Amino acid sequence: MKITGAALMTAEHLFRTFRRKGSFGPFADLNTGRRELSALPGMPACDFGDFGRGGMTVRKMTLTALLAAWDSGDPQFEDAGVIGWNGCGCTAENLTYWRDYVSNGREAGRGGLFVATLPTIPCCETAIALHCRGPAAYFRTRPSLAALQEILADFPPGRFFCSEMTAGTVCVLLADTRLPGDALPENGTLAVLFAGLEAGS
Amino acid sequence: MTDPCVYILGTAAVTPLAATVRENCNALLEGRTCFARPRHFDSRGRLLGVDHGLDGTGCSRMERLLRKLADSLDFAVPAGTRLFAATTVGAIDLLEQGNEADTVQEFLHMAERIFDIPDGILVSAACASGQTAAALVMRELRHGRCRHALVIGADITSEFVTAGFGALGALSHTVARPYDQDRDGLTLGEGAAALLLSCDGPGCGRLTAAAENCDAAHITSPDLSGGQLAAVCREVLGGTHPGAVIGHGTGTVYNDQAEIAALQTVFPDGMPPLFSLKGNLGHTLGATGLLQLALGLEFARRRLLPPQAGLVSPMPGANVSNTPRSLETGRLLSLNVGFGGLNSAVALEAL
Repeated sequence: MKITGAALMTAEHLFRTFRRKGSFGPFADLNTGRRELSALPGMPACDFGDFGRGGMTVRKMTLTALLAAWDSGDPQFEDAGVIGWNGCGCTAENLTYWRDYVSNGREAGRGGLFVATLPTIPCCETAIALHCRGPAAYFRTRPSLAALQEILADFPPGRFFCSEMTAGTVCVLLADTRLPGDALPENGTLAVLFAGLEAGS
Repeated sequence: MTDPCVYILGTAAVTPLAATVRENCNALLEGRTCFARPRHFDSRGRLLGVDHGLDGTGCSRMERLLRKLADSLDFAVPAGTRLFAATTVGAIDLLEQGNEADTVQEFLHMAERIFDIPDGILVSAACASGQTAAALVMRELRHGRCRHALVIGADITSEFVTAGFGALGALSHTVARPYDQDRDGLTLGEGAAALLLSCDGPGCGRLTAAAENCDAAHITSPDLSGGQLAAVCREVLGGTHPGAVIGHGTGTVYNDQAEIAALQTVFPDGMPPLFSLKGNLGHTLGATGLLQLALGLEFARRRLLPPQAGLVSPMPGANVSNTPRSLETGRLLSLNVGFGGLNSAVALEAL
């Protein structure tokens, strides 16, 4: 398995990429980031027509995935899958939806907030934005990159956006399981792996 | 691959109708349903597929459901078995009670504790979670990652989810009527299922193929052409014709329309008999895929498909019936569809 592209978004809304050594932001807001990043030369085709639909988590994930796609240099991703792994899931979105519902007298839940209460929603919004039609799912395993690599290697060979979202950072790697590469270490996170890729490149 | 066959060594199904696969199958063949008003929250008059036996205090409703599932297992779980757990929102009642924990993490920890298997893997793929977990297990077994795997799926009825689907306008005003011309939405339910899967056969059946993809079209609506769903169906069937299809069949206008479109594409010369559990049990979310596989295997063994509960006037093109039907083969196709455009198909065969 080879990492063909990678991007990291920090708590300060700074974006970095691995191969092209891109560094972007901070932006006034993520919508400004969307406009500027999607205009980068060599950016693959993407559909951000519904960018405003998603919450902050979705926006962070889709922008970071967009940069990972750009970092790979690949022009299209129709066969790619989108996998969410570990991190903080959608706990914040659950609380946002529930508190809003309770504060409105338990009668006027907001459908848009409810939709975000699934950990796969950032993956699926990314799939829509980049037109990825491979598998999409969220997995939680022991904190082991080797465990993630096993899951990816078990799918039919192909390309997978792999995301890990914590309260501070979002990291997305584009892994191609058709290509030979190094085994991922037993311990670690995608953000730590990204730092290692940056340091070693 | 060490062995292309993935055998089903044991199945379990806990629903409001019954706590064994056999009893659930009997109830479905009789056309029984389980819709009632919940007592653990105010559903604003809505009916749900609710198991009043799970009512109680002192721990999460999810914990009671998982204990009931564990108690229902009528097969031994071999030492070294790995655990895979599927859910959509997990122990969501904890959040309703003011606990701000990660509800899917709590669900995984409960499952590890109750089934006494550490280092479980959580799988969440919206309403396709159950079959997505089964598909992952098939791949893990075939790649020799483990010899035996227990895959479970569970979701509970909750105010959180009921209010959310209500806000989306997705709930039926009465009860779900899958594949009916006048269907008007889904009815939520709760339940759990388990499959013990292994490379060691023969067991009572086998999972022959699984495939997943994404419409990449809309976050809550399926692609009404059913194109991507048809693609996973074709991939798992490989040219074979199943004796029946256990559809996702939520009873929403769009889901059922997309499914029928997909099945008409896959079977241009005639769709196999079609059935959805959700007219009897409601939509059990992360449990539904594994309930479909566990109960579907029992249908395949008996060569009988239950009557479609809630059916009055079938949708055009839908091969559904309100009487039980016999099956020509013991091979079934099972479908799951989820928010985000997720599609899953699994083929199974009774042995």
